[in-house]
Formats: sequence, structure tokens, C-alpha cells
Amino acid sequence: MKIIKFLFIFLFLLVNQLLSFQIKIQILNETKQPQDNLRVILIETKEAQFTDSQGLVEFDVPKEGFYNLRIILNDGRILQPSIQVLGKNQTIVVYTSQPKETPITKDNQQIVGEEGITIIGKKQKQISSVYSVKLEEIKRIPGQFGEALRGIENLPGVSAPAFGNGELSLRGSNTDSNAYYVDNLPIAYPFHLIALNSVIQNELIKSIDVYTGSFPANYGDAYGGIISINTPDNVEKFGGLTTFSLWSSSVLFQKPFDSKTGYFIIGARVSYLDQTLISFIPPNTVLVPKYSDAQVKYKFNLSQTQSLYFYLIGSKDSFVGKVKEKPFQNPLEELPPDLIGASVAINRDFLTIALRHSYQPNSKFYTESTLIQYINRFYIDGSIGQIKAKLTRNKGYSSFRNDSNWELFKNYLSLDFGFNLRNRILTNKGSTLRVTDPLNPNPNPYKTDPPDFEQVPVNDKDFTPNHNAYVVLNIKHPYFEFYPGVRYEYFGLQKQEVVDPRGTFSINITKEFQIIGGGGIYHLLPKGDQYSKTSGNPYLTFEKASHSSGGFQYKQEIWIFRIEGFKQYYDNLVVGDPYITTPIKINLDPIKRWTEPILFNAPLYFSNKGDGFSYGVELFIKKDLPPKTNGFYGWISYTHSVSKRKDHIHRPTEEEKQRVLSADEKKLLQYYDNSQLYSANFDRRHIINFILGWKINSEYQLGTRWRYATSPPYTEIIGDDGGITKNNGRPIFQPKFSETKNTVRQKPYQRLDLRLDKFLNYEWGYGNVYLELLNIYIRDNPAGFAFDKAVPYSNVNPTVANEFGNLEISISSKRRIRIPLFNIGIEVKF
Amino acid sequence: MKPTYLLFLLLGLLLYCENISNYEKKESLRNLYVFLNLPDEQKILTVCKESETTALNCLSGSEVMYISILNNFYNTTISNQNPELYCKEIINSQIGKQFSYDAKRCHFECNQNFWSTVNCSNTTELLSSYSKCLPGIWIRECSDQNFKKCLQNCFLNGTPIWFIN
Repeated sequence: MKIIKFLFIFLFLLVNQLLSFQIKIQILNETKQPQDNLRVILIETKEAQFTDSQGLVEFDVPKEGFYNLRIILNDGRILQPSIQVLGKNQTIVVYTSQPKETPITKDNQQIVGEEGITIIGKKQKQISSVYSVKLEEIKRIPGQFGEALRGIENLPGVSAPAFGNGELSLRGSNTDSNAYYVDNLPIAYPFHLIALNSVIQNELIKSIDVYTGSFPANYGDAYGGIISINTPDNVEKFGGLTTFSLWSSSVLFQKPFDSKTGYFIIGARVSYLDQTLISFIPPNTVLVPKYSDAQVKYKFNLSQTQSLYFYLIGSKDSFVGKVKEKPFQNPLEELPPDLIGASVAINRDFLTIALRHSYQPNSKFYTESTLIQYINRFYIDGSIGQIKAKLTRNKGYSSFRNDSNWELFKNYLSLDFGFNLRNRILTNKGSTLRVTDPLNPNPNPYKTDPPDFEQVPVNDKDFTPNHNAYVVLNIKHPYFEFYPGVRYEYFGLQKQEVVDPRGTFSINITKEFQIIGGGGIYHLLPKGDQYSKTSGNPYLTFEKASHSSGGFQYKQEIWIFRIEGFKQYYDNLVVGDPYITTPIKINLDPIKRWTEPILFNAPLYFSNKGDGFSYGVELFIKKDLPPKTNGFYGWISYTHSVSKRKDHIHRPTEEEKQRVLSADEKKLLQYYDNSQLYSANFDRRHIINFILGWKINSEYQLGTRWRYATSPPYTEIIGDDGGITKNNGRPIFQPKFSETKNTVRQKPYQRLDLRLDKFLNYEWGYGNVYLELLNIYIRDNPAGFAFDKAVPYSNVNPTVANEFGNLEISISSKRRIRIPLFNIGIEVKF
Repeated sequence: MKPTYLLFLLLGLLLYCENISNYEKKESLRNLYVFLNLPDEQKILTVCKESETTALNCLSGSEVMYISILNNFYNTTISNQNPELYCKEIINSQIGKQFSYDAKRCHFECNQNFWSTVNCSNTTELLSSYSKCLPGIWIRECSDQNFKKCLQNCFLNGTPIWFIN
């Protein structure tokens, strides 16, 4: 009942507010320059605001008529003009002094001496295969717990699981084939281990460019797509933002230097869900998840042509989990038998530190040089069944990067070029686990005869050159734009070199209508643990993708309509390989190395045998909301995508299983490729996102999101192993999977979310309280199959595992009802 | 620029694009060598005869017990003590057919290695050790470390061909 009352009061207040309307006041000086950071008070409503960089403030008024303003000027003077409000959306200009007739300088220019300089460089140019969104468009999308970065999951070409950790499949490419950048600096992962928060605070995001494919040659370390996060490059006044939720709090400050020579932004977040959600932890279980992150951006203008930036972006996650080996009071509450006694401790963090110098001597040349130190650390200490692993891994790089832009012919031809001289770091120490048969879909940690896992000692200390360089030509003509480019990559471990030609184009049929397209070759270095000399295959080559896309775009002032088709081929994908060996390897096992210092035909675990393809169509219809206006905005995105893979790993036939083969013969089987093409794990054929925002007035905003997605494929469970392994007397029934991979799909995913924002405007800023309701029509959305390992396979085991998308509450001792999952968030900006 | 030069330039670029490591080529060559060295039936017969001759030589006086172990394991009816005659019977037995030619080679070579390196004086103990390292059961039961190591090398590691690398 309390919830119903609460909603009723909320709706009443909402209707009351709908009767008011919005007006804008613009404050200009005598030369018609906007006056920012002035305090303006509407005396009748007692509402106070500060003007923005355009000199604008917004007020809500109950009806037409005369109102009085109080404007406090920077020199301490107070103006009290009267204004007449004639209707909604009216903009009233107020001059601080009698205006003179002088030209206004263009926004995108700054004056140096007698010459105006257009700010160049760092601009996203291509149209094909990129979607750009601003913070305001994604920040308040319902169902994402206030995380702006999650908003990109609603764009075309993006396949993401609900409540995922940011591992997106872009146009059907692998989820680990994308790269996230913040102002061209790397971040190791976008979301914390418990994926409730991203590692970048909302206020540090100005806009995001999501390249779903065909990305330009200046981006590397990916063959799928690029998520490029752009941070604000201007701070007008001291301010900040703080957020509170059930699981974490954050704070961010920004301040311009008094001498107007730059600014700094500093933010941090810390979680406490290990305390607030402690009552949800099952009995006999220890779960301690913790995370924190911090961001610093510092800009100092050395002169009008040179600036110095300092960045620090860091994140830390830790997780301790343990299931105690003691009987549960209620046997029905007992966790799966294989987890009893298991324990794991994980620490992961990354730190990106960069010092950047930008220099723009004139309108034709811009260059920025960056020193980067990027390190990503991972530690695990865990045991389950017979297996134990303890590993510390550091990876990252130190680099000197330069990016430049040179305008060869004004408005027609310019050149982007750059290089990155970097030394890649990989250190591994401890022992890791490898499955003895990568084709086994469900390796059993309790199996000993023979074991499904192998403990492999690791001891890597590699500092390997991994340089790259690129050139992109920007050819512009009134009828077309063409951006051909080429990228060179070098990796020192095996002295591998690749050259990737890439390009996009757009042809202007009319001012609004464009034909767009692009394509290219893309390479990605395998992961550190895959090319590890001691626990992987150091002979692995770059993974490769070929992209092609084409379509058209129709763009009017606030409307965008775009259709784009794509086809991508993947080669040299790294797959688990039970056959690949190396003739000689030094034995790193600390004990066995004394008796057997050299290993012959040692397994390498991974090979480049995988390949595949994806194809599909993206549709995007978007309506923008002009700044400082009320009304509707949003988009509809539709993606049809088919993504297939083939690992080219021989599967033993029934006849081969019956026959005992020597190691030499088993090795030769790899040349008999009987592998099948299968749908990729993340292959969702149809995805629709409907995002609608309604900015009602300066105090209320309503948002809705509806998402439809076909289920990803699963490999069918067809039986169990008879419970041959036991954990302290408890039989463990391991599921037996079908030989044909990923052939079963569940019913589609559907979810409607709502979010209502209430803004409380004050003289010093605003407060934002929001209520999110997730899965409004309480649909059971499948999220895979749940197999209870305590009991054998049957008609009711496995069952469909539903996503956590609603809540159950008791309304009496016997009756429980389900309500939408809700979230209340608070944000205070000053 | 002449079109021919442009063509050469593009061709050079394409060749340069895919400058991969030659590990795969070396690995293929090694595996080709393994393939060419796989034994046929004739070769297995030869290996079997050599192995059995070594065993019988070592077990002088206890041949009957040895043949009895073979009969029990392979489910055969070997009555003579001449490898020339009974090797074919072992190879074509129901148990023997479960093993590929190269797997049989592994066993016969490791048998020969075992019988040629042991002290032949204590035949009862040797036969006990040998019976625990017979095909299929050696993984769990074989206690002679040299014998087991030999089988592991053949069944798990394979022939080391390092000279090409």
C-alpha cells in the first residue's frame, strides 16, 4: 500500500507541474556577448539559476503576465528588470547595458593576434558505421541504474546482455574484440566486477562515439569496434556532482583556474554493497565484493596555442567468495554440491596515467603528443575440487603517442597522421589452469582419472615492442567525402607486421540525403595469457577481421534516419586447441624441472584456427532535442545480425573414440577438419530498442525504454554423467551437452522500463531524484538454463533460468506478489 | 604514375600485409614427417617379433607363464613359443584390434625396452610388473617407472622432432 500511496502522490505532483510552462532568459552585455555565471532570480517564484555559456537560464512560470527578475552582475551591481511573458518557450533577451552594434565572434573560434583559428583535430569525421551520443541523451535512459555508459547498449549494431559487464558484441564480432578509450587513452574494462557501476563517472562523459565497424586507421587494439568516450574540454565555473545509491556513492569536482589558464576535474567512487546487501548473502557463504574508481583531468593552457593535460584514470575491484564446508540448516538452501568448500579471491585493477601536450600554431596544423603509462593487474587465488590456481598477472604498456592533423587545402584536403611507440608489458607468476580438452563444454574440477584440468606453472616477464602508425586522408568535396587510411602494426615477440588499409565514404545526393559506406582490414593482438611463452602459444598471430558496410542516411535538423548493411569476415581467431604442440619447451615446473628440464611436444593450448563471419542490417531513427528546450526526444534502433563461427578443431568420431591411438596419430587428426559452423554465443538475430524521453519542464523528465531481443543460442543439455564424481560424499551430476553446439534458443527477451526524474533547482545548483521501474509488465525473461548438479537430469532438470528483473513481496503470510524491480537514485549538482 | 607501377605497389602492399610467422609451416613439416613414419602391418609384425624375442630370451625357463599372460590378456590360444607364429595372432586379436598400428608399436617398443633393460634373474617379479603395464591398463596400474615413462612418452607426448625447428 505504501508503494501505491507513494506513486499516487508522485503522479499528483506531476500533473500539477504539467500546467506550468517554460521560458528562457538570455543575458547579454552591451556588445551582445552572452554573460555566463550570473545569478538570476525570478522573484515571483523565488527560483534562482546561473546563466550558462550562452547567457541562458530557464524558468517555469505558472501563466502569462508580468514578472520581475533580479540579476546579480559580476561587479556586484544588481539589475531588476520587469519582463512580459507572452507564452511558452519564449526567449527574452536582457542587456546589462545599452547594446552597441558589433559583430559577435563565432563560437568555434578563438582570437590569436589578428588571426582567427578554427579548432581542428580530435573531431569525429566519418558518418558510416558510427553513432555519436551526448551525455544528456543516454544519462537518463531507464533501467541502467543511472549509468550513462550503459546507454550505448541501446544503439544499432550493439548486442549486449541485460545487466552485462560492458562486453558488447558489435555487428556480430567477438565480445572481447572491442576497445574502450577515454580521450584516446585506454581503459582495461568499462564496468566493475559487479556490473552496477561503470569505471567512468557520468559527468566525465561529454559524448561517446560508438564505431560498430569500419573504424578509422587511427584506432587500433580492436577488430570489432571502438567505444570512444570524449570528456568535457571546458569548465566554466566551480561545481561538482555527488550521487548516492544503495551500493555506492560518488563525488566529482571541477574548477577553472582563477587565471582562466585551465581547469581540473577530479572524481572518485567507492562501493559499500558488501555492507548494505549483506542480508541477501546465502547462509554458510562469504561474499565480499568491493570496488572503487577515480578520475583526474587537469588542463593547463601554456599559451593560446599550447596546452598541457594530465590524466589519471583508475579502477580497483576485489572479490572474496567462499562456501563453508558445513551442513546447511535447511538442506533445500544448500548450494550446488560442486561449490561446497570452494573459495576464490580476485583482485583486479587498472591505472592509466598520461601527460599530453597539444599545440596548434595556426589554422592548418594541430598536433598532440602523449606519454602514457597503462597497467592492468589481475590476481586470483582459488580452489574448487581438485584444482587450485594462484596467479598474478600484469599487462599494459608504456608509450609515446603522437596524433596530428595537417590541412593541405582548406576545406578540401587534410591529413591525419600519428604513431605510437610502445613497449608492451606482460608479467605472469604463479600457476594457472588449462582444460585438457578444450572441446569439453563442461570440464569437471572433481574428475581425477584423467583430470579435466591441468595446473600449468607460469613465469613470464616480457617487455615487447608493439608499435603502430597511421595515416588518414580526409578528402572533402561538396558532393562527397572520402577518408582512406592505412595502419601499420608491429609486434616484437615474433616480429610480426601487419598493414591495414581502411576507409569510409559518403556521397551527398542532396543536402539531407547521403549514401554512406566503408570497410577495411583490422588486426588485434591475442591476449597476454594466450601468447604467454610459459602457459600459452607464443607463435600466435594477430586475429584479423575484414569489414564492409553500406547504406544511406537522411538527416534533417533534428531527425536522423539511417539504414546500413554490413558483412564481416573473421580469420586467425584464437581458439582452444588440444592438438597443437611445440617440439621443445623448457620445463617451468619448480619441482619437475630438475628431473625433466626439457619438455618435448609440450602443448601450446591455443591456435589461430578459428574463423567466421557476420552480416546484418542496422536501422536508426533518432529525434534530437535542441538544447534548453522541452519536448520529446529519443530513438528507435533495430539490428538484424547473424554471426557464425568455426573453430576448425577436429572432433574425435565414434570410431576414433573406440580405438586407442598414439600421441603421434592423435596429433595428425588435426588435419581432418570435421568441425561444424555454429552460431556464436552472443548471436541475437533481432534486437529492437525504443528509447523515448520527455522533458516536461525544468523540474520533471520522463523516460521509457522498451527492448526486444531474440535469445542467444545454447547447447542443449541431453543428460548427465551419472554422478561419477563426489564432493565430500555429495554426488555431483555434471550435465552432458549435445555434440551440436548452440542449436537451442529460448523465448525472446522483452522489457519495458520507466524512469521519472524530479529536479530540485536551487541557487547553487540542482538536486535530481529519480525513480526507475524495471520490467513494468513483469515478464519472465529467460537468461539461460539452470542445471541442478545435486540431482540427475530429468524432465524438470534443467529448467529455464529467468533473469532477475522483478521483486517478490509478501502481502500476507500466504500471499506473495511480484512487482517491478525499482531503483531510487539521488544526484546533487552544485 | 603508370598503372603497372600502381599494380606492383598494390601487390607489394598485399604481400606485406600478411607477413606471418613461419611456425605453421614448420609444424606442418614436422607432422608430415610423423605421418610418413607411421607404421603399417608389416612394420608392426617386425616390431612385435623383435619385442617378443627379447622377452622370451629374458624369460628363459618361464616362457609358459609369459605365454599364459598373453593368452589371458589378448584372449588368444597361443600354444607355441615362436614370435614368428604368434605375433600375427596378438595383432589381430579382438583386444589388439582396439589399438591402432602406432599404438601397438608403442607397446611393443616399450615392452622391448623393458625386457632389454631389466635384470632377468627374478622372472616372477618381472612378469608381475609386466602384467601391470599391458595395453589399456598401464595408465592406472603400471608401477615400473621406466616402463610407464616410455608409454607416457608414446601415448601422451609423441615423437620429439626438434631438428626442424
